Amino acid sequence: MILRALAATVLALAIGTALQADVSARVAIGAARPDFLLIAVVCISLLTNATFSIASGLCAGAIAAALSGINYGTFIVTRIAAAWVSTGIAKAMSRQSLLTPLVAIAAATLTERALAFLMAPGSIRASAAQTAGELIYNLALVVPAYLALQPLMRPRRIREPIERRLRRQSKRTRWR
Amino acid sequence: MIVILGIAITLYHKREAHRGRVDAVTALIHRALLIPEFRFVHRATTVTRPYMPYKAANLRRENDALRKRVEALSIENEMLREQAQDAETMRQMLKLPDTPPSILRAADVIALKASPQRDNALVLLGNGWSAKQRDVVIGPTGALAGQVIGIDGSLCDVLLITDTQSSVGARVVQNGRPAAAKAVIGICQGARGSLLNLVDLEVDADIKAGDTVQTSGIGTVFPQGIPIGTVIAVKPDPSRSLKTATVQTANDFNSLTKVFLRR
Repeated sequence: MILRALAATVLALAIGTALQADVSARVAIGAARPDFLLIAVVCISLLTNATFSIASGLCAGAIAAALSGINYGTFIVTRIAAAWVSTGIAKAMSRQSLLTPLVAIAAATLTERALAFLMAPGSIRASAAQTAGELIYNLALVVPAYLALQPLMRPRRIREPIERRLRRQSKRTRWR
Repeated sequence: MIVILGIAITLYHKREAHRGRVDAVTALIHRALLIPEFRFVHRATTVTRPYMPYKAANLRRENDALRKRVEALSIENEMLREQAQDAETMRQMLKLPDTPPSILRAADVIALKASPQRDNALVLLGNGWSAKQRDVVIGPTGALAGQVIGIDGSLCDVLLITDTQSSVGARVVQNGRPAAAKAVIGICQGARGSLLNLVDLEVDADIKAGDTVQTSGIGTVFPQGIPIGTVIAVKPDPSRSLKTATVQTANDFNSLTKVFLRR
């Protein structure tokens, strides 16, 4: 199981790197371009455990920094933070729902961009436009990536704890 | 533990960068991931291309066009060779000093603008070729693409002229009207897109949309006369004492696949 997850993680990061290096600039619309490495990190975070998630964040950060040649620290910190946020969302939401990768990528993109802006401030307007473009691209690409990786990683069907299920049911009845 | 490892990698990278060296982590990613991946994709594309039905028709058309172009270029080459011989004879008669020809080295672009924070390209030189810091990089159109700012073996990090950190001394060549008595000189700054800002132009500078922009040769990096792009708009600077022009780059920086390094 661990070997399978490890192989799928390496594959996801390798494909993410190839796409980031070669395709990202070609599909750019203005400053808006997808972040394939971040999409890979979010998918890994949702389909594996916290250790894999944070480690993939570290690897993605190092790869992104090697591609850009600058801001090593920024890339590593932002990617690890994005992985950590995604892991939190994976714990809070159902992994079977397709809404989960969408919420996770939105949270991860916003976290990553916000941290990157704090560490290397620039024009707020340009950064906001870039973030919005990246967010739209990432939202459009994350579900296909998640569906493609899901059978490779085969997550254990995690049953919700009974307390959480009861709490949710009681909330529903309260609303009615 | 992973976070501590991240901090350690960052500090190690900073130390190596301060010494002007490429750190082992970056070198490992370059050699174990980026270069093999590029070679694999390149080989796979080359092998499968002829079998793609829509590509086959295109290839036939491309072949015909290329054959005609080769014939035209052969004639042009012959004429140029004769002119070069005449020029050499004149140089010897006038006893002019020899100028070494600049060498162009072809390189493949393996990563293009991969980071949202910087416009750079990683280019892979052919076997046996080397580069050095500040080598000039020319695009496939013959226009300026950038300069080498980092080297890891045969892999070079190129800062593109569209990056906000890039500044190139530029000279305007008036198109369709006599050259201005006073040279129009400014600085081309990147703006993270296909457009550059030509700043620091004098308020009475003779510049119009459609004029060509070339490197001015002022500075130590870029030699004179390399095309950069075309002026598409001119507007007064907010201070009103200078003018600013918008320049459309001659290269398409979103689809660079091959570049040339010039020393």
